[in-house]
Amino acid sequence: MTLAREHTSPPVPMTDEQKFFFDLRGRPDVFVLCDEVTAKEPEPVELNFTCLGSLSRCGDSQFQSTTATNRLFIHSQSTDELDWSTRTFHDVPVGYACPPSHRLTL
Amino acid sequence: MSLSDTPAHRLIVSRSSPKCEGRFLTALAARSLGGELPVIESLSTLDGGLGVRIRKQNEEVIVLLWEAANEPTAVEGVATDARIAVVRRSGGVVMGAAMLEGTQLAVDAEDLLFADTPAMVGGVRLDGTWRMLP
Repeated sequence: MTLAREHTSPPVPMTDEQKFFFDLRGRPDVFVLCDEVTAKEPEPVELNFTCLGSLSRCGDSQFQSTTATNRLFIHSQSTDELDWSTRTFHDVPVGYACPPSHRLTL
Repeated sequence: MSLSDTPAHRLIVSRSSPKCEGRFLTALAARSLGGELPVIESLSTLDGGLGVRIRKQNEEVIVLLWEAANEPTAVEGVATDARIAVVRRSGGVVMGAAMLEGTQLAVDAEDLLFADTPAMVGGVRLDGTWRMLP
């Protein structure tokens, strides 16, 4: 018999940025994310946002995902010029070129 | 409901040119379909940094992000040497502010936050009086 802790990795400590925004709790209506990316070789780094509702552009640097009752606004910027694209995944076939999306359904 | 009935919609934000390092600043706002929308704008006046302004009715939040702690820089009335700064105004009055890795932060020439060494410091205005938080 093994103990639960043997299967549990130590918690990853929060970065200073995470602590900073965590301490700003109490204003949860807008979330701000800071992503700093370092690659071994030059590459077109990208962020992926997987949403429940269909995506449409709604202004400069801004998209919205719309479901039957809610909307999620995504405003993203970088120190470099950005390109934008969208994809819709249904059943993801094995060997699909893009990483599949994994969804927790409650 | 099967998984195939609920497709996932993916937004891919990629930089136009390949580089080894990059920073992104993203604001996410969730609302009901009838809910009032915040106005989210990039602050393009930052030199080497990123900034976003979020406005809703008479409330405004400004988030500023630099690669590293810097010489005091003024953007949108916020002057700070911090790496990250957040300022919230209500009706034009600063109601809260916070900075990370900074020693000073002033808004509209009013000194609000200070520290002897670069630190995470915040403050709020309560009953009209500005108070730094321990």
